[in-house]
Amino acid sequence: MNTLPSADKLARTDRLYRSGWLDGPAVNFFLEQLNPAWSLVEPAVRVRQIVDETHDTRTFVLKPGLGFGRAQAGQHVGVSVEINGRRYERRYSISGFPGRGLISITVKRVPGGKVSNYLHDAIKQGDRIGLSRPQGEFVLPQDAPQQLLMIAAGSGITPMMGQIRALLERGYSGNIVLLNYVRSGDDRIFGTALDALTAEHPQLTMHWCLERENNERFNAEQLLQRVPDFAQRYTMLCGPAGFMQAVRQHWHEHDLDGQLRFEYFGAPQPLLPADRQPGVAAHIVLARSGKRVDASEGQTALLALEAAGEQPEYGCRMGICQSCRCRKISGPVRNLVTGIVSHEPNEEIQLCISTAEDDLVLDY
Amino acid sequence: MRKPHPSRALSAQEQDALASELDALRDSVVADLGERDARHIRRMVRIARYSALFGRVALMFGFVPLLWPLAVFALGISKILENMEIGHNVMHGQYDWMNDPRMNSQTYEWDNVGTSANWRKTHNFKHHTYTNILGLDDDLGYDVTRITGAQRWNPGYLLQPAYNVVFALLFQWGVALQDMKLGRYLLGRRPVSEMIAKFRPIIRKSGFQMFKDYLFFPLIAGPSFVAVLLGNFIANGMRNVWTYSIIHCGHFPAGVRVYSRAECRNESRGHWYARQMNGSANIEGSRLLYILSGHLSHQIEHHLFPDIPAHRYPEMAPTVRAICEKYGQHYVTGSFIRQFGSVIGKFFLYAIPNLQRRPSAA
Repeated sequence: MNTLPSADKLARTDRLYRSGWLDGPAVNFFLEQLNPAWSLVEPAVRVRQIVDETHDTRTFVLKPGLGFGRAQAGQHVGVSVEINGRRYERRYSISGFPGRGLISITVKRVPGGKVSNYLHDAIKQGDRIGLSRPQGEFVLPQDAPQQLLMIAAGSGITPMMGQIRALLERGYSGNIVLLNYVRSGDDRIFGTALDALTAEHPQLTMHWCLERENNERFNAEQLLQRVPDFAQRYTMLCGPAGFMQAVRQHWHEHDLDGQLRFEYFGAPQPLLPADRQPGVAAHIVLARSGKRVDASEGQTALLALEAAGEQPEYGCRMGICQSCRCRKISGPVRNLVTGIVSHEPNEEIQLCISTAEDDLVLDY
Repeated sequence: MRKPHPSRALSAQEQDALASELDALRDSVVADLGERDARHIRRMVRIARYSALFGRVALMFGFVPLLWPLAVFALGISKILENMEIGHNVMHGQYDWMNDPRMNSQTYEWDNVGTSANWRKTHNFKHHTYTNILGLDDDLGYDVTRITGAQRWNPGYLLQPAYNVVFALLFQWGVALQDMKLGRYLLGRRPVSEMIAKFRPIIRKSGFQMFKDYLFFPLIAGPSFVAVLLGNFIANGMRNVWTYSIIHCGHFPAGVRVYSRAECRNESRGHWYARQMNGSANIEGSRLLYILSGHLSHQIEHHLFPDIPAHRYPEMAPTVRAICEKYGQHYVTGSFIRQFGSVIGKFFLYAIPNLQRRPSAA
């Protein structure tokens, strides 16, 4: 699941940056001038190597700086790039540890995607990109279960690739079944590497499920045929939201929710589409309290929060003073002053002039 | 009061038309924000940081002839740049669109004894929302100076030309203490416990500033202790007097309007825009002056568009001025000497009680 950095988990670098007595911002400025990878705010690290995986997927090998901490297979990192003066951040799963002190991320082009396309088109070997510390709970237990089922669709294979490599390198004694759903034979991310791993390690069984050639989509029959013992297996799931809903629903119907671990890219989705009451245009989820607030058509987020009994800070209520600034984790908002709708994750919005165009998650 | 204000009153339709013209100007600049603006603010940060580095290191070698004044000047310029072009503007959210944690309006902390949190409240919210409304905008005379006949006179104001000199020298302390409204506690209208609670962050912040400038850097200079301490003191004073002068040219020169609360009840966006235009004054000068003033030389544009990167104001000014003319609104501008001279004239003029009957705010 997507996790948020909480105040008590701030790394030492953040604390140093925020320190008034040591003048953190000044210290940080000169550290960044000496080496951008020494930044206390966000290390900018060099891309060591770029590997083409498929026609639209590439692996980037990075060397994290000090303060990155220990990363576990299955976790994701924040990657940021600056495009025309604006910093954009996305989270990508760690797809492997290709050498001492190195990590790799594997990025598939998203049609119209700002960051993925920029990484593909503009970033060359030797360029710097922002890299923040690993987060995420999509990791295997310390003693890995002996019977594993991994279900991946599309770029959902990336966190699992990291896990499979890590397991096999450690001399894992159990066995793994991997159901790997891809659009077509040309879209087999890590195709060669996975084929080599299956040849080398008999305990890894992989099924390529080709959507275009074989018309394979997730269904109960096929699951039973390929993995008759699926109910006994500890299952990891990652893929596009729609695909995951289908798999989760199946596990739910078999009362196996407890054995299924899953990770969404982006905000968590409800299992069943939430039916909204009449007059409710969107739900605003407050990440810190977990509360859910109703917003009506055209109602500003500030008014919606206040109507729900929250007391957000505010000042001018007309978009000039910035008192009501709040980080939007996900979802589309309309800026009432400019009329612009933004879908950008992790951006700051002004509650008093923002309306929820659809469900939102706020860092509030 | 002496003669009617030259701006004409706008009908509701005209107010709406004015608002949509200004909104269109705003939208065109917002759509164009990018690389150029990011480069500008980062360049300013680099200049301020390196200038401070040079100043602080050179002060330790103050015994080298001519190096000491140069070092003081460099440190003073750095503090001015940091407070005006960087701190003030970043805290307005002018660079929040960059999504850069270093330029975030809510977390930025400036090189000033005043806390950024207090500033965001007194300045960004109160002053920019209620600009020039008597009784709501605490920046109208900063509670210490009488700059309009609409403020009630008391004998203390007789001394205002003199105490404003002290105020200018210690301006950052005025900024730090403005939100405290100490008078309320001295008169016993508010509990002292509240005063202490509000004082705590100010003491913390100013304590750090004092520690940095008057203990830490002098101490590491060893034998140059006094040279560094004195240099820092003068650099702070330089910044204080400069910011005081620029900020006093923003709303107090002749031709700027003051509003009453009644005039602004339920005001439209167009009325708010018109009030910002009529309640602010520009300074004409060189690009250097613009930058050192944090582009408060374009106070009118700043008040219309407080969250647009300030270095854009000079480009927007001709359009704003044309819109002002079109709607018969007075656009107050003049050289620094003229504007500041006009403010000093008001210190004397309003130090004494009004000769006529007390006029309504106008």
